[in-house]
Amino acid sequence: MKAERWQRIKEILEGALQREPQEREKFLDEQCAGDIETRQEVETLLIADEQAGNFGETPAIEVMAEIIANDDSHLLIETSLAHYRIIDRLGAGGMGEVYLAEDTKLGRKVALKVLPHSLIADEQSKRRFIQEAKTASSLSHPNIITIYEISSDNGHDFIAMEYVEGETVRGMLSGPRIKTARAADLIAQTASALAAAHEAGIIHRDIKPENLMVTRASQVKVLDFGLAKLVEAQRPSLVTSDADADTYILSQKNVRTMPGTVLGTVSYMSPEQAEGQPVDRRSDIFSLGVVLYEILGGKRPFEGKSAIDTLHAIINDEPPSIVELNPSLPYEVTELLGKAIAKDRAERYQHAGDFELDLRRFKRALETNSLVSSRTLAGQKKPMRRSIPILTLLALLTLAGVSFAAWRIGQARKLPTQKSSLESVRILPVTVDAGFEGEPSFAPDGQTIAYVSDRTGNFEIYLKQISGGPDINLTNHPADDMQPAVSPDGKQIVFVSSRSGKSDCLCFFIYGTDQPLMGGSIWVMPALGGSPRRIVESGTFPSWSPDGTSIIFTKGPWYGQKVYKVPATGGEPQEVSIQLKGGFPFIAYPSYSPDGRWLAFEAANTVYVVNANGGEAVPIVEGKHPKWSGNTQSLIYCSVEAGKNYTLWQIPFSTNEGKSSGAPEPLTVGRGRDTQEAVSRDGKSIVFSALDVSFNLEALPFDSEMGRAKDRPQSITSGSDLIYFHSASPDGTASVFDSHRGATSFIWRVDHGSPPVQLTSDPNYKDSFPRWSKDGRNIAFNRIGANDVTGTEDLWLMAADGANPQRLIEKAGYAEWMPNGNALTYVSLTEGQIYIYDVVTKGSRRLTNEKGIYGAGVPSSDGKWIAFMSIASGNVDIRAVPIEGGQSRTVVASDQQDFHPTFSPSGKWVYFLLDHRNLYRVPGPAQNWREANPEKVTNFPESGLFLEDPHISPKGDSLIYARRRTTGDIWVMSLNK
Amino acid sequence: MGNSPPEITQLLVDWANGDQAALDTLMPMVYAELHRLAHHYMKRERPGHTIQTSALVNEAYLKLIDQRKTHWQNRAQFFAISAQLMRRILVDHARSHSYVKRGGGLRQVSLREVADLSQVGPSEIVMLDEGLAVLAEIDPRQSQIVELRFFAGLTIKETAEVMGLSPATIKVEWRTARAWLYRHMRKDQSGES
Repeated sequence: MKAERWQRIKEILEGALQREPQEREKFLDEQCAGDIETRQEVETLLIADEQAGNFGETPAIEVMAEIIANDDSHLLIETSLAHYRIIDRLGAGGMGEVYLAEDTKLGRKVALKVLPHSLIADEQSKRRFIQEAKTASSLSHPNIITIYEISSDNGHDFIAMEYVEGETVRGMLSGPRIKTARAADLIAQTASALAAAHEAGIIHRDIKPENLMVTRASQVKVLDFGLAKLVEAQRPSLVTSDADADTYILSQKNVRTMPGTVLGTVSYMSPEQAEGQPVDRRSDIFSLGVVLYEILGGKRPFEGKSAIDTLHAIINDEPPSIVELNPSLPYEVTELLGKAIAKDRAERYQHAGDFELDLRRFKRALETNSLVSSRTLAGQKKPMRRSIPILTLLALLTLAGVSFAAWRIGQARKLPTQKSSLESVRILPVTVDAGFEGEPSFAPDGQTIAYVSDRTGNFEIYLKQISGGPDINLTNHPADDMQPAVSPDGKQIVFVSSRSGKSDCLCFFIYGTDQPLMGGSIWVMPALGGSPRRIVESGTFPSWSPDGTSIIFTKGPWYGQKVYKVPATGGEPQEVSIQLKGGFPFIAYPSYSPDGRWLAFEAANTVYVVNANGGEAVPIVEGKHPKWSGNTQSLIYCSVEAGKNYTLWQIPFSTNEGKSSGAPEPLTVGRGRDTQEAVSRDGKSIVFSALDVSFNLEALPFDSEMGRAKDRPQSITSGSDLIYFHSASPDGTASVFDSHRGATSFIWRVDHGSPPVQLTSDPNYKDSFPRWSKDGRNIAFNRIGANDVTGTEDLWLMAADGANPQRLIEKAGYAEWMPNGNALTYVSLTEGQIYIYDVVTKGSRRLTNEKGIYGAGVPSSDGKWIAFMSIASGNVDIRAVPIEGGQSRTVVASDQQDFHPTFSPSGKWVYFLLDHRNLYRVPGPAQNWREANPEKVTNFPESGLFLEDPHISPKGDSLIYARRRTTGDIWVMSLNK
Repeated sequence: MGNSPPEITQLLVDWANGDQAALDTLMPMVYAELHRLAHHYMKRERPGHTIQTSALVNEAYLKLIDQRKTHWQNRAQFFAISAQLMRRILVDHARSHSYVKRGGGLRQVSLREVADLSQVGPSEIVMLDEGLAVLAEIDPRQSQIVELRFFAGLTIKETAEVMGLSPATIKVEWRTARAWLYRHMRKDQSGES
């Protein structure tokens, strides 16, 4: 169309538009005068004008405003967010744009995810998200993406994380078919990540192919922990989230109106998610099962025309059998998938770790061609489990007492060595009981282990073949028997028992969480049962010299263990004098090298080696529980370094130089807390305990005057991190506690009945010992630099919501608030004395003048007395000093260890923990410190029990304490050498 | 309101004077401002309410123009160049968004969508931009009016002021242009040329 022609048409159009519709016909007849083409032009434009309605009346910026407001892609290349220079855009998802950026401070590449503003309008859910994302990342799991920083700049919230080159499983799904073994491997890696996250109490909630990144080296990195919660919380139109109760309520009406929009996510939802029920770890397992199904079958198990159809299918329909979709798959996969995507979560894998294990077994079987495809199987049953080696069983049962024969027979049976090109290590479970199974020790045959279980209600020592067979209880005694070590000739077992009555509490070691908590006397018994005899009255961690003639062990008060050596036949123990640079000698797990030249041991989370005759110890590596490999050429240990938490590692050792001769290498990825390892003599097998330790706050309804529990204890928290100290709010509805994971320690707050919220998170510090003020507004706590080796904390104060942390007193800690709330006691960590600090006048006054003060000064309810623990006598006692100061008096000095005094509100009673196990009481100041024997007021079964920091609630109606439970199983790892 | 970064104004002047490279720098900067403003205004609105476009646009222009340093010959030049800039930015962005919606840029428009042309979304903005380019060849002045009205968000009165025309003229030009564009887009959709 030419410009002049358009001007002409426009002129006629304008004229027609100015006229009434009924006049237009006549007007057009006149104007066009037989020019049909022009007339047609004008007529179509008139129709368009009529149809156009409001077309174009809304300015483009208004159309785009919402999109622009929620868009962050304008953060174009070459700009910067904080110290990140954005290099390239990597992609976009529902949860933000992802950029490749350079951390200009550290000079490394990072992936930067910029979160849409719409996601994070609400500060509370943002905080919760940051907390979850950081927690997941802090697990330092190889299959969880590492988050470096969550921050904001210029109004953009962003996550800086590990940059991984690779593609998502979603991307891989559009490429060539993924081989079955590879699929099993990818899903197993993901399951491993989930297992670690679940253990930390984090549920992913949005497992889908988009969130699984696969590196070029085929390593899976799970993305977006915590984000799902944020998104769901922010999409009230689709999903309403009662985040505190961890439940999601799907509004089906709303879903119906948005067909397709959320299909991608809905397809991987578990039935409980679809129904809006509370979500737990098994929900993630379901979603992961759906991903596996999609990879193997080429389509999703549940798919409808709309989101609501899909949700319906997830809740009601059985998916098509995977082998119908892909007949080349082995039949075993249906069983595996069936357990992953069972509608009833009770029928699913209960732990992601179990799913992982089955996947790994499945993959191994695929690689050794021991599986047949379902096509050829055609209805065959899967092969029976290998039967128990009858001969071994008989030998063990009948030859008790004829010790050597059993080992011989065991020796004849070699571990089935499945050669595999990909895996040089096989890891299989030896025990599967619910409780604690641990502390394995190899017999010389490398087939039989002695180990400890609490399956009878107390710790007993058992014998078992690692390849299967019965568990034979060797001790069968009502006391606790533990820490077995089989002698080099296989004829005897040395162990620790509480059967002689008195036991030394080695509570300190349980802080490392890998130790059932106590020592006792040391006994030796025949390896296949028989009467034990006591060789040492008090000691722990016994192990044999390579020639079997002597036993080394440790002994001493909890704050200073020393190493001793005693003839295996009994006699006077001789100290092996060991010098450690700095600190108390918290020596544990001494063991001789196979060549007899060295002793390895653990002290203060470090593996040391020292000459077998003593001397100055050489630190080898940060870690716990060292054990020599069969030939003295390496040490195996449990790493406690950040990022390697509780996995087994191996470090080469030069026996001539007496130090490490290379870098450590990993052996396990963390079935649990992998520790307590034992190495077979040929070095080909390692047994170890994968422990699951929970340390939670409980409230026991309690009558503090009668000294009686009124009901069963109730859990306040449900995590697995160590809790040492805690403090309840004045109204008793909430608690703050310190939570220790690896090298970190932060303060958390839990409103009883809700999930905990992290109050401190500055990685430059470790925080502990929180104490809630009487007015409920402040929390006093100990803070120390994360890398401070002096161990000297400062006393800090912050608001009850974690705001405004401020240093109150340098080189001090362990605050306790006075009842009037205007003052607190604290301990000067340079002097070891208790002071009282007036919050109003900011003045301090010293209360004590004595040695051996340990921990806090606890005020009585009337504020007239301060009770504290003392180690001046060599034991742990409880003493009290008047508020005016002066001479302290003994409150409790039992022959065991008395911890954590706490007063009843009436002041009539002082409650305390005996050996961290049960609570006792003695009369308090309101009874004029009347003399009486300690009275036991709680009745916890003592095996494996560890209580910490008990408090009587302000109303005197409950007892709140931290309680540790340890469960675990024994695994065997076979190294192909 | 804060002052605009001086470089934005300078870049706008440079671009107006024919420096095409200035546009590459300008667009992300201005878009960032728009984004911030849009976010700001969206937050202020209750859900379901339309945003106050004029306020947003005015503020955006305030950001574009550094009052103390303007070298604009007149208001018209400033608005003309700003409207072009806005058009580029908005269309660029609408294009990336509409492609996502249409799946790889495939133009599959159903009858339902044709009927919905009055409901302008990102895809329609892209189509309108293409149509406007055709219109500009036969009627540059009318095209500029559409640019000011639709892309720069000016009212009839403001457009009349900027163009130095009467509001009545703008009204008529706008209406006929709308009809032309609407017909053009429908033809485009139904596969006619």
